[in-house]
Amino acid sequence: MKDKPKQRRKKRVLPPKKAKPPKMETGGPNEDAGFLLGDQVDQALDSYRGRRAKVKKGKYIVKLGAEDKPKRHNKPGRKSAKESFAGGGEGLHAGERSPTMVGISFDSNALAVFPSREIARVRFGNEDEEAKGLGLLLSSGHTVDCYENDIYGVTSDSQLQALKDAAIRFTVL
Amino acid sequence: MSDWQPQFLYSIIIGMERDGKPVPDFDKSTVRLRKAILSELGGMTLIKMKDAIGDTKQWGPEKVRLILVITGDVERANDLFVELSSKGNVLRQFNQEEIWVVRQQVGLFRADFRPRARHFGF
Repeated sequence: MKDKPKQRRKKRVLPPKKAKPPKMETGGPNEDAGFLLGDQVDQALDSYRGRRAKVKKGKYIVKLGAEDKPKRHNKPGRKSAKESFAGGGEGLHAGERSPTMVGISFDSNALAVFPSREIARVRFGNEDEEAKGLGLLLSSGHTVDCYENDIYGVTSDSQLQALKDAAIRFTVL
Repeated sequence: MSDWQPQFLYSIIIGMERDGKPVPDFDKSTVRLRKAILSELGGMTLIKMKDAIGDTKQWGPEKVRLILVITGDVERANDLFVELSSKGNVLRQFNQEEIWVVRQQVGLFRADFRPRARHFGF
């Protein structure tokens, strides 16, 4: 008996897939991450306590929009932190921080801060030891302040220890 | 009244190696440079130093010494760096093809914990 020839199924011609836009790498669940399933929801909710979760067709969306942020009610006349930072503070200009430490404000509103953590001022025995000592102080990776009369400001205990280990003569002022 | 004073920040970036080897007497040259800056610009000048790793397209990663100078006297500071690189040979002692000096206008606030600073509320 002759077998019937198998009917070949016509292949469905699928329309070409649209290229997906590349996913943004993010540090955690956010609106870009889209839907979250199962445990992911619980984790996200744990991470963002106090924020609302919406349920949609069995899938959970954790909405992290600005509307979910708790609103602050400032007292009348009191400036918000943003206003203070942007120039509302007493004696400050836009981009300057409140005067809690030595700071340098650049024209571009970027801010570089040089923390003042000097723990001791030292003076070396002679010029050779000064050069060796300065190299040791800087090789520790910490900063060194320089003053008149060959005085240096040390910012770390490890710097003082390095001077002692190298038997360099110095005076703590 | 603002306590932010207009100042200039000079960032001097000096490579510490030449052809992969440490520059001889680099620390001595640093001491000479520090003395030259302080004697020319005065004791109110703030100098901070730090060793770091610099990275440029031309040279790649390189150990550098960063010397930050904050001063209000921009004219004397400008003259000083021109003099140091041409006549004084102080910068040349670092044995580098180039030494970069970046100048920026900044505002300086000196945190002062004496009683007169109390109008800020701390």
